[in-house]
Amino acid sequence: MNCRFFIAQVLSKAAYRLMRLVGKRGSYFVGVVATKICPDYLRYLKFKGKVIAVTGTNGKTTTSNLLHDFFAHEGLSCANNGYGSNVEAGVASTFVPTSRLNGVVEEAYVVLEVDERSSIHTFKRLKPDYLLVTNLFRDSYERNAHPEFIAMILEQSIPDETFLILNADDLISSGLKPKNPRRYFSLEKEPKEAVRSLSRVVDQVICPHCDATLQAVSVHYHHIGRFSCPNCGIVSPEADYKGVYNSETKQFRLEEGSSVTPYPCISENLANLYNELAALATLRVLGFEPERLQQAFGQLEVVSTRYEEEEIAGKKVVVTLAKGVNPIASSRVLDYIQSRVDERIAVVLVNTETDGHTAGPQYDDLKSAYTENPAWMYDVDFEYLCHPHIKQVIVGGKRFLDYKARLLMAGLTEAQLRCFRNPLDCAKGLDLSEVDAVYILHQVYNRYYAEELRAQIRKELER
Amino acid sequence: MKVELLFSEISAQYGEKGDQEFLKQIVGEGNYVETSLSEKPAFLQEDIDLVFMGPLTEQHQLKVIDRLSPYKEEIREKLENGQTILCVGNALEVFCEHIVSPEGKYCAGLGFFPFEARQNLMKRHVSFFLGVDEDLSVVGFKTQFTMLHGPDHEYGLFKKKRGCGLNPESGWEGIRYKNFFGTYLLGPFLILNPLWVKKLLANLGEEVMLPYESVLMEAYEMRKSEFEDPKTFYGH
Repeated sequence: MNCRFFIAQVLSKAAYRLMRLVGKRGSYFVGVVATKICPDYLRYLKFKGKVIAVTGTNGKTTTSNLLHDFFAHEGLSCANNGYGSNVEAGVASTFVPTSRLNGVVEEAYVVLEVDERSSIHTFKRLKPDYLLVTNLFRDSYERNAHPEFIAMILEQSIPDETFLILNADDLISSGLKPKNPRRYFSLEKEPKEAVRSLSRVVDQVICPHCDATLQAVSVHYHHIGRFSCPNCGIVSPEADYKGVYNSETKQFRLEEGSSVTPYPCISENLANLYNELAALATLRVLGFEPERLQQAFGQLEVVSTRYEEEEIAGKKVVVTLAKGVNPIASSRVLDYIQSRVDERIAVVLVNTETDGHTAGPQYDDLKSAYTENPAWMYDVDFEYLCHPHIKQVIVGGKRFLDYKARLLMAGLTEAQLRCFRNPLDCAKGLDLSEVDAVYILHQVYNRYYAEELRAQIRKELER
Repeated sequence: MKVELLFSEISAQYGEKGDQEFLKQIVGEGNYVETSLSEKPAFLQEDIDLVFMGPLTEQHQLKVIDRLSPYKEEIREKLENGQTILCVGNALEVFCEHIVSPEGKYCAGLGFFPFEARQNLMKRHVSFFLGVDEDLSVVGFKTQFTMLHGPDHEYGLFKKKRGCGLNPESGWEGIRYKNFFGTYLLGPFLILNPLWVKKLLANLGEEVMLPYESVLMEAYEMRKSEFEDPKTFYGH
């Protein structure tokens, strides 16, 4: 056994026990200890079971959690980094407590959420048996640049032997590592699926082979759908696993060639339909029988740290994550809001970085010093808010003026908009008598504001 | 006034679709043309007051160079005759000598300006910028894989007050040659700099009220103050 690895194991395991003693659960720190002492830490692990990595821009966490929850439900041992981060040290932190001192990982399955940008480091040392790529979209400009760059990173880092499970409806990720063994999944578009509005941002506009403008055969959103090239004739790949959702019967089924199997639908939200489909496709590739999957998926649910809905004095109040610098994630939430045509809606946007990476009165000093690039707002489909049922749009945070400019460009009027420097003042801009529902959109680090606003709304409604 | 959005389907990375739409709103329907990658640029075929090209992916940069190379001499003539062209982000590199990577991968640009773009895909530069164009303050953000090296004192567009210029040693951001303007600043660039937009338009003989101008001005003044504050920081 490698000496450095052994020392890394001893010290990181000791660090893990110490963290547990002081009440820390998921700790990235122990992974940092392990990889600092032994940078090749992941290379020295010996897996008895199957290693399944999940990467992509959106849906990694939900999909890897679904996979882990399935294994747990079935009583199959599974290690996963659900409590750790998805960069290399976070992945390492998963194995510090679960591996033996000699590096053997006994679990029958390992499910790893892997940050796509960091895959260049992670996959240098850890070769997954299977890799599921959910999709590739534009994300943080500062870190991830654009999906072509991330596709290049993945192309360089995915091992040649890894079996790929790819989204046939995404022309960017479906073309990865063409020589690797693979299976594709695809979500069929319901005839009734509303084409509410076209997305502003389409990351794959021209044919990857001949540069001609692609023709859409059917589009779900952004560049996700079926496309063909009128010039060279290439089309989106055929799927091995085709998901079909019927919004009237709420039935979800999986078609594999001539075989059709119904499955419980965990969530009818489009993004989650893809997540469930990706998980099912992966489990079918692993050899799990449809009957077993049918039973288990009836018990699984999508973790709702990202969406909370409650009724307060007859009004619906929703707190939902809409990651600011991820324009696609924000657009998906706004698309959902625009679909709620039976509700009179107020939208509260506090999803900028909000003056720093964390929010709360204790971070006032940090707040005053941080500036944010508002360019991401111009990739978000705020035009989705231009509907008669969306009565009020309230914005709060340091970037309130940038937000106002963007929303005016999108077509909202001054009369619809209320903008506040202090996010906690947003409740003042609400006229609750005019609306049935309030949707509060927050960032990853500033849920605090959303919860405070909800409390203010509750106080007002229950007065 | 007529505007051309050059290769608009691929030249709108990093939120610059906002600048495309801003220009459309300024000139109004019927006064802009969007040229796709498969078409000959409109400014080589008709009178276009302002050509705009935004940031590209690195692969698309190469495609654009390839598409424009057959028209190099026509473009050169237009530049010399004062055609107004604004390139934002790495679009300006298309017009420079070449792009080179640490591994030695080399790609020739159109060669109009004696600058070398040193590209490192494993090292992303992120910063904010405060500078001046004569008496006018300019603000923006930089997020890029390249640094441009060349005679910045001859071609520099914005004098640096704070942040990073064309490269860490440079006192200038951007390139200007006659009516060619190239800058790495994003935000989107035009939306963050309403005064500079008005100056650009005035040079083209247009005195206009910008859409939601008062909001843009307020945001610009607020950002300028932030950038002047030595405590301000940006980046992850």
